[in-house]
Amino acid sequence: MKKDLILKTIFRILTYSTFLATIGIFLVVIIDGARYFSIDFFIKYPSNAMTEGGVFPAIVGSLILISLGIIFSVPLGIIMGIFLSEYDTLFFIKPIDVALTSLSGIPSIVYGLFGLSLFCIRMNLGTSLISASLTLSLMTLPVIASSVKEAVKAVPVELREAAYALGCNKTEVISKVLLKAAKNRIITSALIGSGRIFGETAPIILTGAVFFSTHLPKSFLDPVMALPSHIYYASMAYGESAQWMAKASSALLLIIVLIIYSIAFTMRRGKIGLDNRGK
Amino acid sequence: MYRELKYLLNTITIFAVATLSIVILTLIFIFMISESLPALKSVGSEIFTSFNWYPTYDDAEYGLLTMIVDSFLLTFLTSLVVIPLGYIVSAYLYAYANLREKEIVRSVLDLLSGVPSVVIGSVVLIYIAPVLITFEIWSTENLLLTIIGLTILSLPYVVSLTYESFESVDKVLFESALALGSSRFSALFIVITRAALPGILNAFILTVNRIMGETMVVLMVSGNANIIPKSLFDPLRTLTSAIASEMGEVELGSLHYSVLFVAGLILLIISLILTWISKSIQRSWKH
Amino acid sequence: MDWIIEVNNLSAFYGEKIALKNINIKFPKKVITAIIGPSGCGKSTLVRCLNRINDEIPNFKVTGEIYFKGKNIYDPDIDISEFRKNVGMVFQKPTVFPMSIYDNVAFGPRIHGIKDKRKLDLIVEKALRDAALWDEVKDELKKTATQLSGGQQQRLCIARAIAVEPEVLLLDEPTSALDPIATKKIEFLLEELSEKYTIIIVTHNLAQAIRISDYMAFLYRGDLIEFGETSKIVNQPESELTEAYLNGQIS
Ligand SMILES: Nc1ncnc2c1ncn2[C@@H]1O[C@H](COP(=O)(O)OP(=O)(O)O)[C@@H](O)[C@H]1O
Ligand SMILES: [Mg+2]
Repeated sequence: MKKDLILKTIFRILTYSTFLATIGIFLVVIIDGARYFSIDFFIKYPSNAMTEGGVFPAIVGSLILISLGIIFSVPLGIIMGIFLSEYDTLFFIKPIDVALTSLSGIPSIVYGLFGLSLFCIRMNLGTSLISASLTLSLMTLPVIASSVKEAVKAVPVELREAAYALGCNKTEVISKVLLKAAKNRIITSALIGSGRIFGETAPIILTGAVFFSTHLPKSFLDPVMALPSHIYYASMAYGESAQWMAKASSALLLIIVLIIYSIAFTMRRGKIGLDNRGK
Repeated sequence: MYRELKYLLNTITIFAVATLSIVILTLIFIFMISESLPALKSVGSEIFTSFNWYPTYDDAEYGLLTMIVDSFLLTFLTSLVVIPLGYIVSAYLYAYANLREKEIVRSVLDLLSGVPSVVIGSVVLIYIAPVLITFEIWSTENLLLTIIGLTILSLPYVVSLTYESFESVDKVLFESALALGSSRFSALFIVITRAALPGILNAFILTVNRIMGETMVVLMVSGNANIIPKSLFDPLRTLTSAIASEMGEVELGSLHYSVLFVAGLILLIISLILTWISKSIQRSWKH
Repeated sequence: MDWIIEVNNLSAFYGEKIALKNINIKFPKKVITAIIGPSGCGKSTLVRCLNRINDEIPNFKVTGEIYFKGKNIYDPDIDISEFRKNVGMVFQKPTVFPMSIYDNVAFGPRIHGIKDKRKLDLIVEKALRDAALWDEVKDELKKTATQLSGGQQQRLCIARAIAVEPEVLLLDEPTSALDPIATKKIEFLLEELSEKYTIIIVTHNLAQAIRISDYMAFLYRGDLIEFGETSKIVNQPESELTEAYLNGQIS
C-alpha cells in the first residue's frame, strides 16, 4: 500500500535518526571521555581545582553509597514485592499498593528534601554518607518492590500448589519455592535498583555529597564525594580546564551504569543464570 | 512448634515491611509540610502570586510563581516534542519494524533508560551547546537545550511504555483491521490506539511526571535565571533546579530554607495528582 | 464448475517447522467449503494464507502459489489492501473494535474511501440486515460494540466483513467460542450468505461441517488428504484416514 510505504519510510527515518543520534551521543561520551583514562585518574584525588589528578575518592564514595543503599533497600524491596504479589487478596493491599505507586512517582529532589529534613537535621546525622545512602535507598525501594512483585507473580501457579500439596505453609512456600524460582528476576530488580542509586545526583547533593574531599570518609557520619555529583561540580563550577575531568567522569559513570543494566537485562531475558523456566 | 513460631514471625515481618510504604509516604508528607509551614505562615500567599524571587535581599521576596510557570512551560514544551516522537517510534516498532529491528531497538531502549540524568546534563553542556554557537547563538544554557536534554532523557521511557501498551492489545484486532483492507497505519492509529488508550494515556502521564520532576538536566543546562523565557534561547529556572541550586547555601531553618520546601511540596503534590490520575484512568477502563 | 481461489503446491513454514505440505486445492464459487481435520493439522494456516494475513507472523514463509481470480496473490505487485477487500475474514474469537456498532461496520467502507454519511448509513444497514443483526441493534447503533453478547459480536464481525462487499468470506472456527443457540444462528446465516458469497470455513466440529458445507477438505498433519463434495466424502470417503476421522477415531 502506498500510504503505508510513505509512512513507513517517514517513521523509519525518524526512528533511526533519533536512535542513531542518541546512541551516537553516548558513544561520543564514552570514546571522548575514555581518552583521559589513566592509572592516575583511577587512583588519585582531584587537585588544582579539579583540573588535575583523578576521581579515586568519588569512585570509592559511590561504591560505599551503593553498598549501603542496597543493604537497606534490597531486602525491604523484596519483602514488599512478595507481599504485593502473594497477599493481594487482603483488603489493605490497596492502600499499600497506592502508597508504593505514589512513592515511585515522587521526584528525586523531593526525596532529597525529605532526607535532608529527616536524616540530616531531625535525626542529627548531618550531611553524611549515612544520610545520603538512606535517602537513596528510600528512593529505590518502590522501584525494587514493584519489579520483584512482577517477578514473583510470574512464577507458575503449579509450583505454589505443588509446594502447598507437600505441606508447606505460606511463608515456607515463599522462602523455599518462590524466592528460588524467581531468583534471576529478583537479582535483575536489585541490579536495576543499584544502577539507579549509582547515577542519582539530586538527592545526594542535598544530603551527603561534597564537591571536594581530601580523604575518604572515616565514618558513616562523614560526607563523601560521589561520581555523579563530581560530574555535576566538574562541569558546572569550574572552567574549560576542568572539562576533561567532567568528560572522563561522565564516560566512567556511563560505562559502569551500562554494565550494570546490561547484566540486569541479560539476566531478565534468561540468557545467563540458572532458572530458565517460564518457557 | 518451632515451625509455627517461625511462620508467625515471618508473617509479621512481611506485614510490617509492607506497611512501611504507607509510613514512608506519610512521613514524607509530614516533613514536607512541617518544613514548609514557617514560610506559608509568615510569607503567605505571596509565595504563589509573586514573580519576584529575592530571598537573600534585606527586603527579601519569596515569590515562586516564575518557577512554577517555568516548570509547567518546560514540561509542556518537552511533552509536545517527546510524546508525538515517542508515539511515532512506538508506532514504527509495532506496525512496520521487523523482528530484528524490534529486538535491537528494545534492547537499546532498556539500556538508555538507565543513563543517569547528570550524564545527559553534561553531554548537552559539553557536546551539544557548542553546536549552537556555530549558529551564532551565544547563550549556551537555554530553554532549547533543556528541551533537548529532557527529550533524550524521557524518550526511552515513553517509547517503552507506549509500545508495551500497544503490545497488550490482542494482536488479532490488528489482523482484523488488515483483513478489511486497512493500511497498517490506520489499523494501528484507529484500532490499536483506541484499544490501548488507557495504557497510552498512562504512559503520557508518567512521562509528564518524569519531566516535571527532573532536576539535574534542568539544573545544568537551563541557565537557572528566574525569568519566564520569551524565546527558545532564553534561560529559565524550574522549581526543581531552584531547590537543587540554592539548598546548599541557605541557612538551615531560615525562611529561604522553608520556601524551598514549599517548592518541594508543590512538586510532591503535582506528582501525587499525576499518579492519582494515572491510577484512576486504569481503574475506570477496567470496568 | 467455477472456482475462485486456486492453491498450487502451497507449502507453509513457521521458521523451520513445516505446517502445510504441498497443498493443491480449488475452492468453488458461491458455496460453503469446510476445512476439517484434527487440531494442529494446518487448517488455520491454510485459510490465513488465503488472504495473506499470515504475513503478520514473524518467520512465517510460504512456497507455491495462490491464485485469486487468476491473479497470484503472492505477486509483489499486488495491491494488498484492494485484494483483502475482496477476501473478508472472521476470526475464532469475536474481534469487535472498541468503538460503536455503527463505526465497526462502517470501518471497512471508510477505509476504502466512502465518506458520504447517507451512503454509509445504507451500507451499514444492509450489512447488518445481511448478518441478521439489524433487528437486534437498530436502535442502539451508537452503543459500544463490546457491550453486545458473544454471538451478536460474532455476527457484527460478519457484518463488518461483508460491508466491504467481498467475494470470499473466510471464517476460522467462528462458532467455537459461542453457545449452541448463537452457533445455530451463525450456521443459518452462513447458508443464507452462501448464495452471494464464497464461504470457506474452518471448523473443528464435524457435525457442523456436514450440516452446512457443500464441499469439504480434510487436512491431516499438513497434508490435504481429501477434497470433494461433502455428501460424497461423508458417504464414500476415498482415504482410510478420512474414514477414521469421520468415525471419530482420530481427533
Ligand atoms: N505462530 C506460530 N508459530 C509457530 N508454529 C505455529 C504457529 N501457528 C501454528 N503453528 C503450528 O503449525 C501447525 C498448524 O497449526 P494451525 O494451522 O493453527 O492448525 P489448526 O488450525 O488446524 O489447529 C501446528 O503444528 C502449530 O503448532
Ligand atoms: Mg486453528
